[in-house]
Amino acid sequence: MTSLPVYSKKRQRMSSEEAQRLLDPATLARISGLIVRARMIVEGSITGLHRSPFHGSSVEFAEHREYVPGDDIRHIDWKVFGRSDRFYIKQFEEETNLRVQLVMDASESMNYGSGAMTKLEYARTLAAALAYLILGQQDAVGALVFDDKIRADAPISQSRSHLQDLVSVLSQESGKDTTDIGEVLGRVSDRLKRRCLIVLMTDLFDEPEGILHGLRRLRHAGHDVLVLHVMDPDELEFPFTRMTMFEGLEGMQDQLADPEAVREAYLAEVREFTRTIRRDFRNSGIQYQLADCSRSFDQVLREALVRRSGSPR
Amino acid sequence: MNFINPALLGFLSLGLIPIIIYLINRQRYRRRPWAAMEFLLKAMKRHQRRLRLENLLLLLIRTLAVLLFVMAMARPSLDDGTLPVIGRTARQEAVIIDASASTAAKLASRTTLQEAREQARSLLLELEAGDRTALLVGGLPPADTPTPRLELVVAGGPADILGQLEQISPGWLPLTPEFLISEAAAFAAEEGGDWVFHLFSDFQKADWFQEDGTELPSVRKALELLESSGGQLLIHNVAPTKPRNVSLTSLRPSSGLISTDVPLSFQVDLVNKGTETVPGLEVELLVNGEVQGTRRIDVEGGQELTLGFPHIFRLPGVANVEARLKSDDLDRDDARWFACEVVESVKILVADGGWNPDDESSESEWLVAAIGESESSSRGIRLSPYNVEVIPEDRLLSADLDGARILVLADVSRMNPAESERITKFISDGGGVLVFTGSRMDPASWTANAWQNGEGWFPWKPGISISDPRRQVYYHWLIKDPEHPVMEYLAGDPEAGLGDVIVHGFQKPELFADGIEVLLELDDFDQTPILVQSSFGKGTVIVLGTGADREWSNFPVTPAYVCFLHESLPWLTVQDGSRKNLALGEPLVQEISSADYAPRISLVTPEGSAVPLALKESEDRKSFLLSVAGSWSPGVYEIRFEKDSGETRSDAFSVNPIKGEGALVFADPDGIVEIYPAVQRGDFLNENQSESTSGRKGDLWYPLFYTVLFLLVLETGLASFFSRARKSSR
Repeated sequence: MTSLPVYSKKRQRMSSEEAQRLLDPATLARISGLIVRARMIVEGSITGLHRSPFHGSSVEFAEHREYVPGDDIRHIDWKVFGRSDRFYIKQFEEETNLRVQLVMDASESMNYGSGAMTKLEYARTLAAALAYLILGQQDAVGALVFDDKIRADAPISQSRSHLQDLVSVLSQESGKDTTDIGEVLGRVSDRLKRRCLIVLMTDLFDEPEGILHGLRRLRHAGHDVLVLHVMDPDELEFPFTRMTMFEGLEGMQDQLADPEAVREAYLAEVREFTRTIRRDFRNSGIQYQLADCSRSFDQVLREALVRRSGSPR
Repeated sequence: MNFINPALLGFLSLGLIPIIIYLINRQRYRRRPWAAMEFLLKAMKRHQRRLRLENLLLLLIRTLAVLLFVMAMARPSLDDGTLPVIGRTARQEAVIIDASASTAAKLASRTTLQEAREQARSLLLELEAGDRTALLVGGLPPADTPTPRLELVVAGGPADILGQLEQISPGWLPLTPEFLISEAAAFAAEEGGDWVFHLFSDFQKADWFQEDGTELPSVRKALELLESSGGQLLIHNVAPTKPRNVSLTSLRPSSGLISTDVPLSFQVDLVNKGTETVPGLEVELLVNGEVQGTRRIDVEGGQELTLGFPHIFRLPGVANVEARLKSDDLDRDDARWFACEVVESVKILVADGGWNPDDESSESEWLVAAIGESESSSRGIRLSPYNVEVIPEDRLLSADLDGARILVLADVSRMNPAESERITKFISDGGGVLVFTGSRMDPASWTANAWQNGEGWFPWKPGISISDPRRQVYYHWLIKDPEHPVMEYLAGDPEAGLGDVIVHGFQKPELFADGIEVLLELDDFDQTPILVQSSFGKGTVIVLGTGADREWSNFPVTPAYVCFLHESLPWLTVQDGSRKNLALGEPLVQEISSADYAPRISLVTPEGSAVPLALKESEDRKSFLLSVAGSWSPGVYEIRFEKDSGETRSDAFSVNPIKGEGALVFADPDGIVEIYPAVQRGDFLNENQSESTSGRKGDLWYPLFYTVLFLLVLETGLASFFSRARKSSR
């Protein structure tokens, strides 16, 4: 793959059906390159957006950047246009200060997948897409991968060449150990000196109190938090029929169960869990988005980003 | 618990299938890594107990349904007892078949027994699988009567009992309802529960009522026993409507002593038991299987006849005489048999106490003249079978008694011990002794040696002799026992002259031995027995307390004298202990002397089959006993003796049916019900028959079947409910 322009000048609009097909996890799973995937997602999803969800509102002029459709036209520097006959907008300080920290759970439980992608693959792809998007916006993004501790990380940077580093971090092999989200988030909070948008991609299979504590700590530190709750459709629907020995991951015990008999009870537990975390996250100002691995990436990102657009800071 | 199809119980193991499937399913599982284990564990923890209970409950229901289904197919029934009635009540109904002689009566081409069998068969085929039944039979000898056994009815009916039913043939005996009902009561008591017994019979009146029409206490008692055992008797009348039956009731010779060349007559008694005249009835007399005479008669309804068939035996030996009717509706009483011994002549030894060699007068001249000599006429006919030898009394000890059948003592004065001993042996061996007392009789020696204090052969202790030489005091005879064979003719024929006899002198007995029979007595103040009979050993003694001549009475010159002798002498010869004519079931016991011992003895039945017999040594080891068990088939039976030397001889005896069974006088079934309230009508043709209350609580087929259906519905409902409950548990 050659150099990767952030946005193609001859961006073509895809039909929604084509986008669905191309952005379907099963389709993207056949694309091994994460960056390509990310690009396809971003370009496929951003196509429908008129404005970036990530933007600032500071009045301090920082620099010009070329206009892209969706930018606020109030910020077009007409003087530059008069001089260059090209549209540029003024970036204000805060916009250039958008910093995103991608935090991806790479514990063993994320290695589960019933479809074309495991949860880890799905999260990885989401993270890459976000990184692509953010860097394309000339914002800064960093990434770290964790299980019971931080396994790899790439600092926050807005350099376009940083994408490769991010992808490299995100592509780390893991999925073998347990999870300690709370502990990791604490460390993340300690690291971050400046306010960031923390995007946590995890299946949340950890102590809820620990998770909430970690997230609240980040909020308390002034960070924005977006949790992408990555779940496999099997985990959401429990579609099994035959007697199954469920082998626990991350040290959990095995359990022989008749899925037909426990399905409703299981789903009730899942519903209760998601209801509880939604409530707790909402109460703590943490944005929550369920990322069903069977859904297309653009749908997930759209929902997350649109919600973010309308969510209070 | 009983089962109609016990073989199906082997399928009870199918009840393990649901358990096996459950266990297999638990072992057959997929393995799957699972990340959201916490949710699963919480779900399991919350519902595990309930899930386990639901699974166990469904498993239990499925297993139970299979087990109960198999048991239902095996058709169980519980023993009666404490459990209440559940489901369909199995019937317990038995049939009782009257196979007595009267059921051989035919109406058209069908006998009463065939009608009874047909009705019983129809009733048995009405029974359903699971019902219980049995068969009782009356009127047959014990050896031929099937033992009542319980049979559980299966599809198609009680096969064993239906088979037995077809084998029943009329017997020769009457029905004894009391015995049969008692047997039914015992059966009901043993098997338990309520039983209904259906009696198919012609209900002969004599079997159920006394002569005056009242109940038989034995029958009532048996019915009470049946009731207390849980049994109920329903009667089904199968009697023919207009029975027609002529019955032979007796076959007997005119004389008890049968000898060659002496004419006699066989008397055949018959009676028309019906109400209509039977025209052209043929009666035959057969001797040794050959027809000797045929009579064709018309017999009016209720008429009794005696037919005489004259016959002369030409050869000595055992003869079989049979009288039979031809073509009658009831064959059971159409024949009678008589076995007799034909002798060449009968030797009578007369010991004459008044023998006077000088004038050759004797006490016994009247006697000998009355007896007659055994001389054949030119036609080969004799009038008397007797050979008389007269000896003076002092030769009594040396006389040849071996060939004599009868010893007559005519006014023998003294009786010494040796003579008495000889006479004792003679009588004990079966000889007959006729004693005429007289004026010469010495009471002392007779008392000491003949009377022997009541242990001797002489039946009374001589006392004084009473006589009136002037013949002015006299007595007449009174018949004491007019039915005694010796007196029967004399009592029945006034012209015999017994009433003309006057007695001037007689020996007056002082004491009598036990067991004597008084045939005549005097009309004196004491009513002195003048003619007595007693049995001693195998023989018989008849004593006339007056003389054989005219000294003490005019007896010898009366017609009664000859009649008396010709009645008493045969009586003395046949009373030798040998029985030749028996009733049904009567055993035969004969003493066989050592001289007649034969190692091979066989009994030939009327049907021709030969049954080996064995002799048993008597207790005194001086002779042998031949025992033949009672026979239940009428006819003539021959006993063949074969010695090692090849010498053979034969003897015979007859067995005759019971007379009353051919009466065909039927009781009104309603009358039976009225007299015996425990009995109910259950006639096959009676559509209003009372409902049977038979039953045996505990037939489980239906309740098990419905339980299985209930379990299946329950399992389906519960499974659906559990499923919905899980879905709704949010």
